[in-house]
Amino acid sequence: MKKIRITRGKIPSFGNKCIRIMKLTLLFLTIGLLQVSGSVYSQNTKLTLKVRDSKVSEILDAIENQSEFRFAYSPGYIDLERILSVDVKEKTLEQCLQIIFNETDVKYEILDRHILLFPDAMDRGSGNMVAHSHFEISQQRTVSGKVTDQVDQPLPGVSIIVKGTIQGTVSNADGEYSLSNIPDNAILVFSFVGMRTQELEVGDQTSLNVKMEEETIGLEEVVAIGYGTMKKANLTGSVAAVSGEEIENRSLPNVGEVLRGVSPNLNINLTGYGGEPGSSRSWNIRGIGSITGNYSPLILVDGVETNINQLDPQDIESVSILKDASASAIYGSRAPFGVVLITTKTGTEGEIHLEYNNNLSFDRLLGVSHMYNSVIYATALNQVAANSGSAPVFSDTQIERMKEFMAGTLKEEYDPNRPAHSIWQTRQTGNANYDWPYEYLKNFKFDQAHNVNIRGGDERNKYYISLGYYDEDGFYAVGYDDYRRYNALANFTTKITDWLKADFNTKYANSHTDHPLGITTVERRYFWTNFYIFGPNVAKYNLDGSYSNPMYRSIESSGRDITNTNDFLISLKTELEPIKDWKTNISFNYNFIGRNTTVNPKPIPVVLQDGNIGNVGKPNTAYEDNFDNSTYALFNVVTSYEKNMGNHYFKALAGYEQEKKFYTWLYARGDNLITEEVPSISTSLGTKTVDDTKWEWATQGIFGRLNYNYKEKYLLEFSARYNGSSRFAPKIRWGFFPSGSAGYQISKENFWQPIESYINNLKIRASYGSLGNQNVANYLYIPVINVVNETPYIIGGERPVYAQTPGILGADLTWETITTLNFGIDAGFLKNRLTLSFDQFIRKTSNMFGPQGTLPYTLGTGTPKANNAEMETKGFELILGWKDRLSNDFTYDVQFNLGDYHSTILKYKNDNGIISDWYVGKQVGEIWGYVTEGIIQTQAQADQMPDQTAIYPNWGPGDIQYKDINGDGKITSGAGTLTDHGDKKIIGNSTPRYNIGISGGFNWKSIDFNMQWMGLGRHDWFPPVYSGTFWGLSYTYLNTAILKGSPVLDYWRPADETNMLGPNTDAYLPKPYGNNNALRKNRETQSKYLLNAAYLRLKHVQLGYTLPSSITKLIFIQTARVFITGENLITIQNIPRSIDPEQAIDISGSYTSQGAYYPMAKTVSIGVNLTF
Amino acid sequence: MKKLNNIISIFVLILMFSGCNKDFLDLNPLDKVGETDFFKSPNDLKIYLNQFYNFYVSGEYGSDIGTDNAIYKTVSTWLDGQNTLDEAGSPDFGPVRRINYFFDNYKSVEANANFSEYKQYVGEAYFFKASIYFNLLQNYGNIQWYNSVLSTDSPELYNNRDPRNILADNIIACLDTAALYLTADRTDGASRLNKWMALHLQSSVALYEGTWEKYHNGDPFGVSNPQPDKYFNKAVEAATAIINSDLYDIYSTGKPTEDYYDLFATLRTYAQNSEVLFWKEYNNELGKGETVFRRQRNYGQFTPYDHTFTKELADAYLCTDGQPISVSPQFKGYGSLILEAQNRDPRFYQTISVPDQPWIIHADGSITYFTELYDNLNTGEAYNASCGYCMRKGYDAREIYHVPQYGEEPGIIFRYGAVLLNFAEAKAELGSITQADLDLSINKLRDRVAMPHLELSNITTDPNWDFPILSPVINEIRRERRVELASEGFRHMDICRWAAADELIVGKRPKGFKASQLANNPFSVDANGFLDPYAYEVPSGYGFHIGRDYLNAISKSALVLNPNLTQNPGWE
Repeated sequence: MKKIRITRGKIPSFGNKCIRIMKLTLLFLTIGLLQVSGSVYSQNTKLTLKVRDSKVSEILDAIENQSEFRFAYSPGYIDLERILSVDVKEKTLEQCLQIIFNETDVKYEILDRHILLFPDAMDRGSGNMVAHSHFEISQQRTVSGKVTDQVDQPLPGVSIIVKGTIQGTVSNADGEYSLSNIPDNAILVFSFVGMRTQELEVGDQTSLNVKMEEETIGLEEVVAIGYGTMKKANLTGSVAAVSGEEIENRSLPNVGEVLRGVSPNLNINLTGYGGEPGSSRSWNIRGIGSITGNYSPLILVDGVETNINQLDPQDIESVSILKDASASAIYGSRAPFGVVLITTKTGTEGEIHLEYNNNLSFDRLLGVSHMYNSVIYATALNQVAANSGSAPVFSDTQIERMKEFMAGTLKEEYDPNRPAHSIWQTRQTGNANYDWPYEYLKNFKFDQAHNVNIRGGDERNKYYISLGYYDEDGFYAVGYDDYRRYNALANFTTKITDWLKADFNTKYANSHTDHPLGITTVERRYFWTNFYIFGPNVAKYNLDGSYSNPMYRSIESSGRDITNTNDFLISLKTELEPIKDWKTNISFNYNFIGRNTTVNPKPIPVVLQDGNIGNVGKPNTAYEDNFDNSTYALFNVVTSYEKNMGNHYFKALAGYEQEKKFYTWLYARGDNLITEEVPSISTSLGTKTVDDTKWEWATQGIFGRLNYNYKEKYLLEFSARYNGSSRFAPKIRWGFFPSGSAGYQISKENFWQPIESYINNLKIRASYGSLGNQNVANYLYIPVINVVNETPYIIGGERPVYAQTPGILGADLTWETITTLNFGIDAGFLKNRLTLSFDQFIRKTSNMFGPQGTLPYTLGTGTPKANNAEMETKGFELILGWKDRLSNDFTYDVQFNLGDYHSTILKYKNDNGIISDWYVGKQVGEIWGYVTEGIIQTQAQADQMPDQTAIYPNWGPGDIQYKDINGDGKITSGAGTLTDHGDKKIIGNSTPRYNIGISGGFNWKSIDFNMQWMGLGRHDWFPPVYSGTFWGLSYTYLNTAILKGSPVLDYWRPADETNMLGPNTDAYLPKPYGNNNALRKNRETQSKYLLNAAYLRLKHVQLGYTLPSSITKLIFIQTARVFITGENLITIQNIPRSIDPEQAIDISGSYTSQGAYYPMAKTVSIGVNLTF
Repeated sequence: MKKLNNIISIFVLILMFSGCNKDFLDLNPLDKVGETDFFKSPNDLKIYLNQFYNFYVSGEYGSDIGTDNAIYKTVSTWLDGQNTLDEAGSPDFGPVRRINYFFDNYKSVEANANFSEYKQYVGEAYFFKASIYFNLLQNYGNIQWYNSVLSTDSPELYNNRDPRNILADNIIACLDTAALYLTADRTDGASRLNKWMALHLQSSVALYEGTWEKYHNGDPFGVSNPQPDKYFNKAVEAATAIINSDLYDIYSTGKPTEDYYDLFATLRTYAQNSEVLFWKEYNNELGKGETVFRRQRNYGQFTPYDHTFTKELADAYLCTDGQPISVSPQFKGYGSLILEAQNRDPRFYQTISVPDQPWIIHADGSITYFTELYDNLNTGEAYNASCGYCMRKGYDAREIYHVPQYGEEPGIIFRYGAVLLNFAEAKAELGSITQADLDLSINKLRDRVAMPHLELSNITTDPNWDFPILSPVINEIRRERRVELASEGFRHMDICRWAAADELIVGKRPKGFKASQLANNPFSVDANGFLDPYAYEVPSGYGFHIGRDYLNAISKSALVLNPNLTQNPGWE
């Protein structure tokens, strides 16, 4: 709480709010005490000071540190840099101050614990102007008044300056001030940290009471935009800003996870690796932008495209999300689908701060289901087999053994007389009862994050240096996996001369992932399905005590997949400003990412129940070493000039940019290791294989932007980029991408005055622009013959190289063009306590890659791409915020975000209207299916209903009756075309709709609290046919999972069913079969099982407490905050609990059809923020 | 002024920097060669053709599953007529395009090499083209024939199918060319193709088309002007060429009770094997555990996992007196599998496992017999064999080779035994078969297993012949084929080309051995006490549609895309 000085400081950013408000609270607290206790403290407190050659500021700090005295002053008026030595013992404060400010013009006033310092010339109390004689005496007049805050409490320490002079004063403990000798037409400037600065004309008043208002957060805020910054108030495009503080102290592995849900239509989803340590996230802004190309946004860290997973979230100063074309147009073809600009922290002028933050988190499994017991498992599977007339999967004897095992009367986990002879046979022979997922996985893991940074600087040099460490454990209870990351970041800024500035930034990240390799020939992602489909009956131990379950052995002892990444980025930037406001920035950035992945496949011996040894690993030992390097060089020069001419503001910017990326991968493998213990190429005795891959791409572009505004009321912006990419044929590689936008700040109009107290801010804006999409494969236009190592066939005792046939190329392939029209409104109500921001957009992707029409199979290859398709995405973003201060002690805020988008195909060559393909008018994500009539209850019903034999020959009780939509008496899918789609229709849409973010928090005294919810309003999801987490039962035990929380057991059973599950004619699920086609007949995509996977999840909640400085100062800590954080603590969902809505839904192009992925964590973490 | 100079020089530098980079965006592939740089040397041709070898992934025993020889626990959708138009895919013309790409381009090698240097590769290309089209022919019947790569605006894309006999003629012609260009050396059978492989394929194609045209004559699958004899003659010609080459012979070491079994189960290489023309090598070090090299012959399992031979196959085996079981006094009846196997063609117990045979030969030499398996039969998924008969052909009892998924047993693709069967059948179909022909073919196979010769003049009438209206010799040759090639994946094709579903499939259900042998039987049993596993699912027998199921359907979308294309019979 040391920094309660009245400093002019930089314009505080949005996110400083919490801390700032906290400071204010403390100040008020101090003053409050003062009023009660009179001025006893200052006389009774004795100080001892012994400092040599120290700055005044340091001495003041020392006093603050050993007392409750707090100084208030306006820097610039007090010489804090003066060096002196003080040696006093047991002196009162007044005596000390006399010594410190002896022979200076600094005066002081002690208001108990609150000491105001002011220059003599400012003569506190009377405000007499002495030193500045250029004000004529005859014009002398006196103004006095009282400064209060919003809730009419007196506000001491407010600096009141006569504009254009250094004449001024500071309000006293009662908030009163008085200034004399002020000129006519004087304007008084009232300023106070955290409050909005007010300028008032004195006119002929002698009394001027002022009510200070809390800073209007956001409007004065400066946000990063392409190649520059801009006041948020002057934005005309759609830009969302997030400050570093909002995302600090989260116990999360990467920036993607941290930014989830913070801004509407910024969609950050899990990938096929789910929540695995070190897994990345997929990003998009405003949904699907292209049906073939990559539509992720351009993510720039300090202006350079960066691997976002390698950044320490603690180093983020601010994030800007540029959503519309006008905002990102300046990036041309690099950023057709928006830009995420991340700015890292930089040095600050002033004293040096050392900060230490940590976060220790305890994680629990999220969304991993438990298994039903083995008797239920066996009963259900046997019924499935019986439904198809097959023999039972488990014999009665075996089920009897399961019962005995569960009752504890049988210890053997399988019948020793019928041991498993193969590794996978344990799945039939076992009679145990394990809740397998919770055997493979532990329910707790521990992660930690640490960050130390130093921040400081003076007028010329500023620096920020940070070191971070993140360590994430995996959930395996057997075996292990791990992710570690070390970050180092250093940002230096030097002002070489008054017209030349240089920045030198380096970022280094080292990450290390270590995972088990997987099962036999499939990779480790298959673990997750197998965790569910190895039934509860599977034995864990053989009779000799060795492990029996091959899955268990596989996680425990498979080879390791280890990746080490070194990511080094260096940026050199120069800013020249030869003439004021003409700035030229030259920047050169070089990113080197070196990655090494090693895997050591090997046999994994499994002791079989018959005593033999099986192998669940690879046939032989081997070692693979992959090195890949990518180098990325970005050079740009940007020159800009801005000018304020009266009410007119102009800014022009022009620039040149080029970038080039080169990638190379070298692979080597050695087979048959001498020993598994020393895996290397050198220690392999067998075949050695080498391979490589190389590619490069480059872009070049010139760009420019013009800004104009009139009184910040009428805002205009034009920008354009002329861009070339190596990915397209020479004649068509250059494109021109212009954009324009305009804004109108209506609330600045005079006519607005009457309603300003209700709607104090209203801006409307519109933008239109187009960009190119170069996010396609390299060398698309060059016909090549790919020569591949190692045919998948042994010819003459070896696997020679083989050549592949080139596909048909679309030679004229060029940019996809993305055009966005955006309308927005920003409004503030009730003194900006209520804010609203709304954007509506139409984004058209034209010249989109599509096939040259779907052609007959006789072509024998994929149809080449052409720029002949078109898609339109429409959507909106809404941000509604409320914040208020109920008292000096209590402030709170809530924000509601809502985003939505949906896409429609406008052009696509599909002359026959085949519905499984794209077609004109198709809504992206559309789900075609049958309408479910219900479950057939009697054979008579089955005999009378419309003919379903096109789906399957036989139908009976327990099966699904589909609705005969076209009334032809038959259920068919027709020709699968728009004109003949039989009884299928569009029953839903899998596009996630209405992404929701709700955040809120409060500060009360030293306590701060915030939380964030995210969710989806609607998401149609049809469970895949073999989804273990929904249907559960499959035609074979090989992919059956019988999980609690899933509807699996609510399947149809006849009224005379005698098994332990009993009759269930009023079932939710149809009758399952042990025959694939029969099983599938009831699982045709249909309305009954189309689920709405909407959800709302408490992603984040944090409670912090800032320790009183009277405690922390004892251990030389300026501020100390402790916090407790929770992630993913509450989920409200509509789909069965066995399916995690984020996991099963967000992962597009699901890796396996089972819906089982590496789980995310439910986390509780504790941490501290310490500033020294 | 100095300041200004500095600034100007910086700008000049920048302009120079960007000005120097005119070719900055001209980037060419770094690890691939351009189309025009390829097909320059014979080696390029060879490398290009390597991709086609993988077309043959074969030698998995048990591939008669889903025919009247063998079944799985679930009813074959094909046999039961359950395949639906909705599930139909489009013919895969990818391989057609890839091989035609070769034909379009290979001639550019002429400039750099003599034909003799690369004729082997041209021969290989013809072989692969034939093999690709033969595969299409079997699945879809008549289909479009192309000689070069099509482009997106080729009108040929919209061709209707070419008649199947034209297709067959083209395939046969390709193989003639292939035989001409390919090396006539015997080779080790697992390196590059040779002439004899081409002729082997040719005999199969010709026999296939000949029987198809003959037996589908007049049904919707027939051709308008059938010339079966033309194809039979071609089959005979191709087979004769192989026979006369004297390069190949039946594998025999003079052990009638072991040789046949060993050929499929215990031999670890066929490089010097007299019988095997073409085979695929499996090698874990080279295969590295990749999926295509995963090898688990007979499911790599000790236990049947619901895969089982049918009684229909078992009944086909003659008794050692050369008589069918219906008449032979040697037949011991169905009382037990051991009895059933007694006095039978030795191929019976070299194909079907019988309780007193070794099931597992442990590393220490001790033996566990199949009794162990049969005692537990049908007591749970792993031990289920719904017809009772477990498979032995291709199963190596030696435990050291029971490496799940990573077996290294070589896989036979073409063997001389099949050539002999093609020869005999074609001759018989021509009606010109002689005792000498039989001695040259069928009886060679019988000699290996010490079975009495098939004598043209002395064929015992079997009241249970599958094809009573056909000649006795054709019935016996078909029996020989069924027995000799059991579980090698020929049966499906044979049923189709013989148009035999009406005799063998429709309304029939696969049966198993006597249920009384089992302590515990979860399956249905028929009136005679035989296992009847599909009694519940296909109560009135298989629903195979004779007018439809001999060929696959073409997807509905393919018909929409090409209005000239017609659907296969019965699928309209």
